[in-house]
Amino acid sequence: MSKQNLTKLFLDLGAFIALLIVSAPRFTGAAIHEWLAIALSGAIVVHLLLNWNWIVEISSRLFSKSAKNSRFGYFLNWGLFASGIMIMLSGLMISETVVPFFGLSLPQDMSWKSLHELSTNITMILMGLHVALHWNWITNMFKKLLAPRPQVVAPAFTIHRKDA
Amino acid sequence: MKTISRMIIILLVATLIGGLFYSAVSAGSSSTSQTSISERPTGDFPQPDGDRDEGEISFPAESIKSLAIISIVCAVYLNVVKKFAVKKPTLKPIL
Repeated sequence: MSKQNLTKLFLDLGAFIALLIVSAPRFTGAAIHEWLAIALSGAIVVHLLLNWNWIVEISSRLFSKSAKNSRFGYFLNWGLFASGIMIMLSGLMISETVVPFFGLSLPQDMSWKSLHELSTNITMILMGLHVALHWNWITNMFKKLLAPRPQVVAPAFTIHRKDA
Repeated sequence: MKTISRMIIILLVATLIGGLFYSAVSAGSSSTSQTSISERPTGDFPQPDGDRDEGEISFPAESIKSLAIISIVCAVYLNVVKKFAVKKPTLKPIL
């Protein structure tokens, strides 16, 4: 397994666990919920950077026949990105910890709260599809990670010098 | 340098999408003229179900719910894809 794939796997796994924790604000409290969400958005930027080549490649040949299989995933990822932004934006608008920490105050509107919940539900559905699309990659990576490594066996012969 | 420029592109796109959302929501809420939180009467309201008191450890039900949604959508998609996947014809060996 390449080092980049390993980095991707652990980053995605960490981001997934963080997403589950972030989705339970009543359990964690507002402060952890908000700061962890900020950290998660940073992890998503790194996730996009690690998959930058794929994004550029599919964007350049989106409507060609060769990208037929990737088209659904491409638009799904855009949807996921947009819903993630909606969560962050609505979350900042109703923030109790992060925004006041920077000495800012935003006009409070109840519609942001309902939008925050709606975009969270949409993101969870899109995340399920995103995981499903990459299911083979995820299972293959775990198989490689958990498979016992073949041991290197030392050669069973010795070299004798003629003049010895 | 390449990574920084890519990060700037991601942040610019995010800002653009966020700006569009913000203007759409602002336009929508101003037309409906909802009552803001600051204008609402304050007082002792009962806490909604699920809120916990200080020091009490609650069950992360929302995380379980999110995990369930993701798992169900993932399982349904994988089964649908498996069902409708076109099987490639396999060549039989000539005996």
